[in-house]
Amino acid sequence: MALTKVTSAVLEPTAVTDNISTGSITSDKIADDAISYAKLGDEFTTAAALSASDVDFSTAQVFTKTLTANDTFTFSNVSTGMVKDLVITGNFTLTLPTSVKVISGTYDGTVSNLIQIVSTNGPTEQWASISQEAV
Amino acid sequence: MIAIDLNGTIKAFSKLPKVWNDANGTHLNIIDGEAFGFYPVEIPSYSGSYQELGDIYFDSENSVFTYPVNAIIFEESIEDLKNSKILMLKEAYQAKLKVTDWYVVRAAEGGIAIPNAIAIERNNLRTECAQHEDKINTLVTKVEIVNYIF
Repeated sequence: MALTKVTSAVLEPTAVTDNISTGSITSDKIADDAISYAKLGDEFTTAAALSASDVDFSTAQVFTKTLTANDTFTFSNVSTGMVKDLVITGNFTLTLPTSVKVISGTYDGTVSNLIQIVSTNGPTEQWASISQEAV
Repeated sequence: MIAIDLNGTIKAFSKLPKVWNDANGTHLNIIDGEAFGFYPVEIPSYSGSYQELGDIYFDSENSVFTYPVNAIIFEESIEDLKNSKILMLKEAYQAKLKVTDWYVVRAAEGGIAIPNAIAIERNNLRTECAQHEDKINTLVTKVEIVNYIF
């Protein structure tokens, strides 16, 4: 019996153009341990050097900057649960948004500082901890 | 010591805070404190016996936080202050005499004479105490009485 090639023309339009809807891919369609690091988006896997002062949470996981003057950072595209790492050096005053609460550590201008930001309420509230390399 | 005026409430710190939150953000590693409103605190010299510091305020001419020096208002009368001072005087000299009291006890109970040098020293102490008491009684102001050193 001859097979007829199925073209998009014979499919329901939505089968070709629509996004995968809720429930279309159920958890049993994804094998355990099947989602690898490589499949994650850039926002989870890349480091970006900040040239300006906006930290766009949707673009990278790690943001680096060497301060050359006092600097005021802004945050954008922040959602609850996001965790981002800022690696900042430079002996200047760094101002983070008012939504940031520092829970531990202090900034040391003489060394690199890891500032870890956790959003606990979207752009409204983030908690930060600051640490440096142990010496 | 440094301080900052927060909407009329002056808050003092031993040094610049490591983290500072204000309406402009969460500031880390503040180096130029004055840019954030932090200024040094200067404590003026004053005599604690008759002066006291008032409430801290910002001296805009000198860009420092400081305190006014106010005279202590003594509730006691001049006579009360004199009596109090003389009481302190007598307690002080009593303590000095106490060091050699045992010579006196020994002489009274055992008949051993007080050494001449000790007797002179005790006599001098009594004379000094009496002279101080006379001087205190001639003082006319409360500050003079409070400041009198014996």
